[in-house]
Amino acid sequence: MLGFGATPLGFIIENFFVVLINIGIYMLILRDIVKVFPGVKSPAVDNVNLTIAEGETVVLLGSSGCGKSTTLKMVNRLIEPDSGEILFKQRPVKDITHEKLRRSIGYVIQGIGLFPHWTVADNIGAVLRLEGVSAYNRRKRIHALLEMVGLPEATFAERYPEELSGGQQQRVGVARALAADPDLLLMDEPFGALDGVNREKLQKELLLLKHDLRKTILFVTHDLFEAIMLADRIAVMHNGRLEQVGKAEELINAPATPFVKQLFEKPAQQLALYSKKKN
Amino acid sequence: MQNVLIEFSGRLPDLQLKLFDHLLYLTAIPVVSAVCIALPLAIWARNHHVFQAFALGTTGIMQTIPSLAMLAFLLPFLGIGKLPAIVALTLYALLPIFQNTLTALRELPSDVLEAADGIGFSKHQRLWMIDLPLAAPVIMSGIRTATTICVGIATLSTFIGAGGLGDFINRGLALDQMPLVLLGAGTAAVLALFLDFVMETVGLFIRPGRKKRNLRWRAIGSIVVVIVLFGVLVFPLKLGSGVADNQDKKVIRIGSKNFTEQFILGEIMAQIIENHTDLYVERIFNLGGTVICQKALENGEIDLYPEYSGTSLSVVFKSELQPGWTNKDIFKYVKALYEKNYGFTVFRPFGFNNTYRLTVSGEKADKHGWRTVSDLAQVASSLEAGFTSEFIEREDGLKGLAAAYNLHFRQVRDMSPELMYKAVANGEIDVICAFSTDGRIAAYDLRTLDDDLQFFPPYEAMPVVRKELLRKFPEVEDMLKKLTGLISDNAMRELNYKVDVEKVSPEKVAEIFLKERNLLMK
Ligand SMILES: Nc1ncnc2c1ncn2[C@@H]1O[C@H](COP(=O)(O)OP(=O)(O)OP(=O)(O)O)[C@@H](O)[C@H]1O
Ligand SMILES: [Mg+2]
Repeated sequence: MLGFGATPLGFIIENFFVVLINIGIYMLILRDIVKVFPGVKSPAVDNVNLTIAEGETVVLLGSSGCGKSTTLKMVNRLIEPDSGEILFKQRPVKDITHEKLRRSIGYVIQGIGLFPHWTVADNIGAVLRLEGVSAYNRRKRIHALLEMVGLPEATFAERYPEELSGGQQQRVGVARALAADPDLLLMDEPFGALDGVNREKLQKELLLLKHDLRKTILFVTHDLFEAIMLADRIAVMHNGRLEQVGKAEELINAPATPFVKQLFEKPAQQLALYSKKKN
Repeated sequence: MQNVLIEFSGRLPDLQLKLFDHLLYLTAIPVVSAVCIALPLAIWARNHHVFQAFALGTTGIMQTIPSLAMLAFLLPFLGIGKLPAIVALTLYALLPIFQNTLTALRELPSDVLEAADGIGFSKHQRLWMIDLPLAAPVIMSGIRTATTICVGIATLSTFIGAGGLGDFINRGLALDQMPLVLLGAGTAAVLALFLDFVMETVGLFIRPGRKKRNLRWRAIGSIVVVIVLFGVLVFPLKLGSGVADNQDKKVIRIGSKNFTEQFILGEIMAQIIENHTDLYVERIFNLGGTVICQKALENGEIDLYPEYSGTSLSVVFKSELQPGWTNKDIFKYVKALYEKNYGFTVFRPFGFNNTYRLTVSGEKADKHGWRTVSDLAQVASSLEAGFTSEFIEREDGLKGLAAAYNLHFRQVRDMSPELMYKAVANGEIDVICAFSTDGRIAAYDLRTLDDDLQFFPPYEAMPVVRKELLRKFPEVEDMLKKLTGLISDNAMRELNYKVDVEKVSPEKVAEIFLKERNLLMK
């Protein structure tokens, strides 16, 4: 890589640099992750390797049932891998207690999962409450978060989840994940339940948020356009394996596997247009 | 109608007491205990599937045990009174609460739970902040079911002297007084409805999400109901005279079984003691049978009660009548055993013998010249008999009788006592097994047949007393001795008649009787 690798000393120096780089840059590292659910023959996640740098947005893209959610949930230990290692800020996640780990990673679940017996404000303030933040500070933070996700506090703070539209619920879900100001956000198809117009609106807002807040995001979707719009890099997943990881252009221009090729072929033309527009 | 109203208003203080017992001891305490047991158990069982099946099975089986059988099972361990009733009711309340809690917890929306885990709730925090609040409405409906069950089943615990509204029902049934039965059953039904309404409202209030506007009226209604219930319970109808003063008074407890004659005997003993001594008598009447009275006496939960010599012999001491024994022999035999085995003593009988008597209508007796059982045995093969199932089963009932007299009826029908007397009076059947002191013998103009071979053991009523009581209050002995030989068969039959047929209360009947015999001062 750096050209020193040919000599033993060079090997050491190179690795030293790799370590140095890792400390500064990588938020999340997945190494050789395998997960087989009991009673299921084929692995749900099969030898996945993925690194995510600080501030980067990586989108896991793949069709339904390919193992995206499973991969995501192993990061915050909702699911434990059978083998392999996950490092969050250079620390193996299995050395961090569940609660501590999860409170420092924002998580937007696929089904939204707002607490139906709590108001919007209480939902958003949940993690802060667990952390013992004072009511006053909590209220300030909730106010800021509601602004951020575009829900006026006066109208929405005291509503219950059942009194919100699907899109509004998803905004609350995002605000809840952001409450403790985590460095890493896991988002599992957060805009799944939305119609095209609203979905695009939220995607754009997320892009703005991302740039303002400098969050690292691991984002799951099965929507190609969403992936291209939001991702710094896309990780294409198929049958539990990562087929290829790279920038959208790389995947389009140099697909590593037939699956990736097929995936990007049809919309390639439109994509070319779209990405020009975007830049 | 007016009579009924007067009757009711006279019973209000009593109603208040029984309602209080019913609500507090027989409903609230069992339900709260069941919640305290079932809730943690269900929370724990949620992740222990083997235990789930086991616990659901056990509590389910408990549910199917008939209430009276359950009370009978507990009798040897817990005796009579409120405690065994509370235990039994708690067991009944367990299943609905356990089942609902478990179901509610298992069926919580998985995305909500995943979100809670995913954003870092600890197990404990999730349980208290998410799981239980979301499960609460279903748990609440389990508690509602348990409460309704308790209010209903609690009416049966009167049989072990636990008090409550069942006392009215049991007494009403024993005395054949429908208004009393209605008073007990109606109040219990209203209580059940009230509690259900209040708890349903609570259930609606703890439902997740915003409270609906129309809940306001339910809430107001529930608060009114609670205030009314509370008011009914604390409104000073009797100013607690009976209860509060007991503490400084010297109290003795008289028990009785649950039929008319026993109430009257209990009252007679109670009134003569109260009239001539400064003792206060607590009446624990209505106990569900010999075994229960005996247990209560052993445990010191009652101090004395009227028992029949033949019953003591066969039920308490499981002995058989020896050939040639006279009434006196039996009396001596059971007295000796009571003293030796239990430290009780027995006073000389009240004078009457309430034994089984084959009984026919006066009309048929005259027409056919039936005087004795032997007379009947000759023509029995053409006769139809109606007997209680107890009589049919007992060794000293039909089985032994048939053998002794070579007595075989054309048909024997299993009948309830109420039906039996009417049926023989109407001529629908020819012969029944009556108790010799039953008031209905006179009321329906029936004739009892002489037991010429002396098959039936004598059932002479006599007071069975704890000796301890006599050491403490020797004056009781003199009072009970005054009653020796006082009541003849005929006299007892008349007393029973007044209560059963003329619907005079046992208290009144006892008072009139004692006054007639100049045994009450003033
Ligand atoms: N708890 C589980 N037990 C057994 N199999 C499971 C479990 N959870 C997921 N699976 C299986 O693992 C595979 C991957 O599931 P996963 O939820 O990761 O898919 P996904 O890529 O997120 O799909 P979708 O886009 O539909 O959400 C699927 O075949 C699924 O059936
Ligand atoms: Mg998924």
